[in-house]
Amino acid sequence: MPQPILQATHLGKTVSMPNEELVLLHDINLTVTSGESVAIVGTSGSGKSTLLGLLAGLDAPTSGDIHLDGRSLLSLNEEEKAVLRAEKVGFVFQNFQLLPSLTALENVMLPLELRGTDTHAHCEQQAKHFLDRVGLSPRLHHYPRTLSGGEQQRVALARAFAGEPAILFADEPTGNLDSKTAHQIADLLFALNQDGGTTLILVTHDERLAARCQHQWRMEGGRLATAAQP
Amino acid sequence: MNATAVNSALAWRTIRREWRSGELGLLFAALVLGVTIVTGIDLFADRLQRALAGEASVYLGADRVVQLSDPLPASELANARANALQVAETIMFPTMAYASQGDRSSLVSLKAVSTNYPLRGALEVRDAQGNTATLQHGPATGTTWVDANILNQLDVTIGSSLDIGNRQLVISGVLTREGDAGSSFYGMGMRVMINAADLPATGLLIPGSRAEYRYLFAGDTQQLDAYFAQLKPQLPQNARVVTLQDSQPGIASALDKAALFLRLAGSLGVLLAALATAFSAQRYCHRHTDAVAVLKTLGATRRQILSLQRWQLGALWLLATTVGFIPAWLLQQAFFGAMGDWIPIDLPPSGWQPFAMGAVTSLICLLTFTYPSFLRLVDTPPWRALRSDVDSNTHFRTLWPAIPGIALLLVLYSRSVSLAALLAGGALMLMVLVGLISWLLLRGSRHFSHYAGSIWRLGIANILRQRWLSLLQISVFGIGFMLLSVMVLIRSSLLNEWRMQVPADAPNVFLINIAPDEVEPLRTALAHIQLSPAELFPMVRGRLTAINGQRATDLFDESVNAVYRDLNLSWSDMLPANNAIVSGTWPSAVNHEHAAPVSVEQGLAKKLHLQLGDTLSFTIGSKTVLAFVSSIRSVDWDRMTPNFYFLFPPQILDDATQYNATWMTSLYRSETQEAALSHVLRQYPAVTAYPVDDLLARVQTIVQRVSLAVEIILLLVLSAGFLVLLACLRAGIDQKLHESALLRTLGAKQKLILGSLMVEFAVVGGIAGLLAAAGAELTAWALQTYLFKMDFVVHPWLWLITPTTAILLIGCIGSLFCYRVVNTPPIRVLRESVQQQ
Repeated sequence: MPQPILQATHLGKTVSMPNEELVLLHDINLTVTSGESVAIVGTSGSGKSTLLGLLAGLDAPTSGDIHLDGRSLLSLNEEEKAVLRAEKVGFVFQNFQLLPSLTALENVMLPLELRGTDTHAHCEQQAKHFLDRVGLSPRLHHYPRTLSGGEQQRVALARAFAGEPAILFADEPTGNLDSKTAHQIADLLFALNQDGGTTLILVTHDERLAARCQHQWRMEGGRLATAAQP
Repeated sequence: MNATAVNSALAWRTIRREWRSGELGLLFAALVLGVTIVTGIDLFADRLQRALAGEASVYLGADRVVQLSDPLPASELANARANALQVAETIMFPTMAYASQGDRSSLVSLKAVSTNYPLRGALEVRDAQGNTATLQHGPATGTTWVDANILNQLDVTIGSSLDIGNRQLVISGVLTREGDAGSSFYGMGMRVMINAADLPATGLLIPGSRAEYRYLFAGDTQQLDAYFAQLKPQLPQNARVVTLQDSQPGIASALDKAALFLRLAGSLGVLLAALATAFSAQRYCHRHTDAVAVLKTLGATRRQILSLQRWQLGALWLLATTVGFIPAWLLQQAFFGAMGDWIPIDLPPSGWQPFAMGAVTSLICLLTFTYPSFLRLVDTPPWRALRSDVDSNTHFRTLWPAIPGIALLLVLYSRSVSLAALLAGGALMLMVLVGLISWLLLRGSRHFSHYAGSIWRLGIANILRQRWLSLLQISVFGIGFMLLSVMVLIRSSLLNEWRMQVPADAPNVFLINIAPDEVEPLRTALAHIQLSPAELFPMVRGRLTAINGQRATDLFDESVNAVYRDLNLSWSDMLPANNAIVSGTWPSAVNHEHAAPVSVEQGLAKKLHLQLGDTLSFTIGSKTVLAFVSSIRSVDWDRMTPNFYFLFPPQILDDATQYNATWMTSLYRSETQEAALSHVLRQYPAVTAYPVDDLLARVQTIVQRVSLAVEIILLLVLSAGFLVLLACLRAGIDQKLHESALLRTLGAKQKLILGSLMVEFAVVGGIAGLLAAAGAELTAWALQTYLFKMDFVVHPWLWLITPTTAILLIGCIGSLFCYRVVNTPPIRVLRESVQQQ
């Protein structure tokens, strides 16, 4: 029986505005088992990205709790959450979020270096391997500003997978790309996901991308309209 | 690997990476500049001080001198030599000199010197062929060097013999320069210098003779201090220790002002470099907000990022400090070069203190200007990686620690709390004022822009939209330009004052010992050869013996030399030129039955704690004159004119039967007039001419060189100002590039975009320039009036030049930064700014 890797119970998020309380997320319950791929879809402003941020422990919920790899995020402080992310979590962002002062290779090495468990040589070897996997061997020493959008997102994929995370969060990974490039990136994302046996949580409004996931959950007005129940 | 090793290795790699990408460039440059200014100026000031000490040593002929009326015990001198100090000896007393051939004789001032005299500086002696030699020893035994006037008066030549007491000595040269002749020439006769070994044979010095013994000491300062600490208690009451500060007040005052200017310039330079550091740090943090968020999503803990940043700042500090030392050293060498041979080559190298100052300055800059921004950066929430559109504006809170930082830097640097307080308080007040006024001006310009074309409207809208950044920029530009204008103003008045102080026709000869009945004939004779002396002053030698009925020597120890020696008292019916009444009234010739009114020089009055109305007793010969302080007067000692501590009204001391007055004056004579003057003076054999060309030339050289140093410093401070300008302009440039790219995609023409940017920069520059001119006038007035004690005049040109320069400079550099936006495809700018946001 596969173990749940991610579980959210009665998750809510409210922000205080000058005159009112704005409810972003409303009583969300979900479970993702290890190795699954899940797409969270919905219109702009439906709360997809907010949910992703909470599930990944980037932001704190107003109510409810999240268990990631069996640990309650509520019980962890920011430092412990960061350590958990370093060990178990990978990210892919819509805006790529590569560090402009680092080359492609250095960007991919960075999470490995931050973990501090491997030697510099090993980090470099691992990073080169993943950049090769995404077809960027000839561009190891290029800075982000000299790479195309598709290439930047490939570096971001290599960075996300190089740490061999148990779970990968992707926020509109093809949102900033043309359709052809988006298709290539999606292929790469799923191939890497398959190879590593990684759990994938994907936020997108691209129906075709969502269709490639095992599950699709729809967000509407801060609520999970179609969801697997815990 | 342990966490520290991982972090330090990662930090080092990060630094290398950031450095390579140019992100740290401006921050690094600002720090390097700060270190360079502080260390460079400090190194130079250090040497300047040593050189000043050296200069004074020349006038003393030693590092320290003990002056007394009896010889020091030989054991004391042996003790000094045992302490690795050099010791020389001079014995001075007036005596008669006779020409061995003929019947001429004259009262001379005999100075017997040990062979190793002088210990510092040198004597200049002219031989029979007219060649002048610079010598560091006295005359050989059996010979004498004499004042040029003696040749005239005794009708002798080099090679002739003089009879001094029982000894006959051959004149082997004319003494043209005697560094330690000092200012004690008043009332002294012409110099005859002999070897001390010849003194016993003259038979002139018998027990009880009045003579002035001077013991000259030179050596390491610490050893001198140690030796004098044990010597002082054993010295007799009348002994006086002469140190370097006592010698030349004129030169000292010019150098003091120069040093003050250097400190001021240094402080302003440090302030500007600190501002540049703060701005660069802000920009660095602004550009790294997303990077920190991403690092957090990648699993970096807050502690890890903080540690990374600390390592990074530490390395930056170390690197910037070390690199900053190199130009500092070169700068100091350049100053050194500019000073030429004035600063002796054999000066010991500067100590470590200037380098420590540089290192501490960059550390304070980093801790108070940079670290708070970095601390704030660490708190960037990781969710920002998902929503980078959230605004991350400049946070003024992180700038607050900069205020105590600036204060600390200023105090450390200027070593003067009052200077630091004046500058920091002024800058803070102006910052608030500038902010307020520029806010009002901005509001006004919005009003104006309603009626202006689209370029103006867009430009002013830009300023108003980023109101806080605009206000900050105007304040910083305003203060930057203000500080630079202050420097230029003070420099100009300082140089002017110095030039005026030693004009080309400053008096270069003093005439002393003029008998009362010779005054008018001499004046006429001088006028005849087109020489016009400054005022002629009578002079009576007298001693201040009591103050308010108490014995003066009971009130003050020998450090207050004025009550232990004869002073020159004079009288005049009006206040002499270059004198100004500070308090009280100029003594009138009112008939005072018991006491005469007297005007006292300000510095001496302060030293003797004299107040208006205090009574003074003077002993002149066998007479006693009672006086009361009727006014206190400032004297410009820098002028080469006769000056007096005590000035009486006429009819008190001019009774020739009671007081033996002689007259003195000073005048300028050109080289071509020298022979004519000599000719006139032959008819007045008692009058002694005392040339001060050498001293004047020295003052002029020093002034020239110090002026050059001031110019170099100004250049350095200007470059610091330029760096602030760059840093400050760059702070808002990313946003502007992004917006301009957007406008271009919407179809805006190049002319509109560049035009509106130029309007924006020009308005910011214009307001900043105007405020800077106002602030500069105010600060220059305060500094000149209270610190430099100089006269202040308003500078109308400043109000035109400062705003124009500010508009041109800010407009040009700003447009240059932004020019890229109109010749790069907008999509590239937009994509880059997405990455950087």
